[in-house]
Amino acid sequence: MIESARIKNFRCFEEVSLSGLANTNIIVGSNASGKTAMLEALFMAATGHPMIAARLRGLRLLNESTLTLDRQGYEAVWRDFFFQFDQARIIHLTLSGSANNTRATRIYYAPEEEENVIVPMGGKPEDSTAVVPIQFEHSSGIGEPTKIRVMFGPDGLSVRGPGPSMVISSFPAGNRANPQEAAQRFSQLSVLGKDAFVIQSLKKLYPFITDVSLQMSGGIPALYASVTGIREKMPVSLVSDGVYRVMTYLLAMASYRNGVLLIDELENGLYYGTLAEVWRVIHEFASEYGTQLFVSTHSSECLRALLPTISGNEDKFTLIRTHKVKGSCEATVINGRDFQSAIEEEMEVR
Amino acid sequence: MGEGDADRAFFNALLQERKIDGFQVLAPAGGRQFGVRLRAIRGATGFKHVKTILLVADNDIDPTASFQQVRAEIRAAGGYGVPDAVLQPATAQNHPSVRIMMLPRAGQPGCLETIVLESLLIEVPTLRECLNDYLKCTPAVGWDQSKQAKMRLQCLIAATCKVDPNCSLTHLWSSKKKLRQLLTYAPFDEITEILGAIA
Repeated sequence: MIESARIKNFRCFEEVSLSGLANTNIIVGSNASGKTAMLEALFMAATGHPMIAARLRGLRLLNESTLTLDRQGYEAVWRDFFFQFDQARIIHLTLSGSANNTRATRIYYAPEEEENVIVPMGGKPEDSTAVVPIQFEHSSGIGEPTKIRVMFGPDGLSVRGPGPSMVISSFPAGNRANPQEAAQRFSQLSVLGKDAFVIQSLKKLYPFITDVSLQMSGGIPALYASVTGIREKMPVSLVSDGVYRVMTYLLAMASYRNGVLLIDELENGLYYGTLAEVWRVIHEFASEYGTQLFVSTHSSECLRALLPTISGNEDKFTLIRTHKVKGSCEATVINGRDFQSAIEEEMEVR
Repeated sequence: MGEGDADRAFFNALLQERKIDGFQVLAPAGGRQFGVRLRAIRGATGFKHVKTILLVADNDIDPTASFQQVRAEIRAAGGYGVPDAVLQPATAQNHPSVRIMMLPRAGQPGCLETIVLESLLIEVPTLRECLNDYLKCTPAVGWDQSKQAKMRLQCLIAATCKVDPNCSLTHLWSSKKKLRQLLTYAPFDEITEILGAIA
C-alpha cells in the first residue's frame, strides 16, 4: 500500500505531500484544483515510463504533437508535465509504503545530453537518431537508480531501459476502458477459474444481468452479457455504460493482487440509486484483492452513498481535498473518521 | 455550534438583529453530540479558515454536569483544546480555539427557552402571574426548571402569537411572527456582548 506520496513540480503541483493514505482515498476539489493531476502523478510515479506522456496527453484531449527532430519537437511531448511548463525544474514523484509500493521517480532534462544526435554509419540525415536529453530516473531505495533513455528517430520515440513493475490501473473520467484489455483480463480470470466472483457481483448489482461470457466478435474477443428479456447475448458496453465501467473496475482489481486502482470521477455513467451498492462491491473487491483505491468525485450523492460502506471501516478511508492557492495546487488529507462524520452530518466536504 | 434547529434559528436571528458578522451557525443532523459535529467540521470545506468554535449548550438542571459533559464531548472528538471554564478559550495545534457558552448563563439552571421566556414576559408582563397560576394546575409543577421554562414559553407563544399559536421556537423568529423585537431586549444583552467580543 502507498502510505504517503510527495509530488514536486508536476503539472499544477509545485510541491505537495500526502501522508496517512488509506486503502481507499477519495479525492475531491473544485475544477482545476488538481484532482486529475494527482491521479496522473500517482500513475506516473508508479509506471515512470516516458511513453505514458502520450497516453496522458490523449486523455486530456491534447493533440498528439507532430514529432520533429528538434528541441521544440521533443519538448512538446513532456512540456506540460512540468510545473508552470518550466522545464528547468526537476519533477520528483515519491511513493512510500510497502516494499512494492515504495519508489522515487525523477524527471528532468540533462543539458549535457542535448543535441546528441547519432547518425548511423552510411546513414542519411533522415535516418538520424537523437537521444532526447530528458531523464526518467527510478529508485526503489535499494541500489543505484535506474535510468530510462528516450530515443527519437524516424519511427518516432522509443525507450531504452526497464520501467518499474508496480501494478496500477487507471480509469480516466469520460473514457471507457479498452474493451480488449477488459476481455483479456476476464479471459485470464476465467482460465484460473476466478471469474465467478466478478460475475456474481455484477449479477447482484445489476439483477437484469444473468451471465457474462467471452465471445468473439469480428475475430476480436469481447465481453458479452446475457440480459433478462433479451434473447441474444449482447456486448456489455451495449447493455449500459455504467455496467461496463463497474465491470472493468472489478476486473482490474481481480486481475492483480495488491495493485493500485485510479478512478477519475467514479459517478460517471452510474445511476444514483446504485451508488451505495457500487461502493460496497468496490470495497469488497478492494479488501479481497488488497487493492488500494484513489477515486475522485464531484458528486455529493456519490459521497453520501459511501456512508454505509465507510461506517465501521473508517480507518480504511481518507478524504483528499485539492485546492488551488495562487498558481499552485495543494491538498489536505482528512482521516476517515472525520470524513465519515462530515458526511453523516451532511456537511460540504467537496 | 448549538444543540439543534432551535439554537440555529435563534442565533442566526440574534446575529442579524444585533448586526454581528463573522459567524456561521451550525446545527447537528439528528440531535447528535458535539463530538461527532466537531469531527465533522474538521472534514468540511473551509475548516482552515475557522478561528473560533463556540459551543452552546443548555445547563438544564445541573450546570456543572452539563459543562463537564460538553468538555467530554470535545475530548472525544480529539485534537481540539478543551476549555477549563465557561467562555474560556482553549487552543490546540492546527485547530481553531474552542469556547463553551452555557445557557441561560454560566452557573444558572435552565436553557435557551429560559431567556426567550424572560424576553417575552417583558412584552406581556401581565401574563407572568397567569402562567404561574396555570403551571400550578398542571403536572408540570413537578418538573425541573428547564422543562418548566419550555412549558411556560410554549404556553406564552400560543397565547401571544396570533399568526401561528402552534409556532415552535425554531420558527419564532421569522418576520411573519412579529416577535423579532424580543431579540433587542435586555435578557439577550449578555449573549450579544459575548458574541460581539468573539467576532
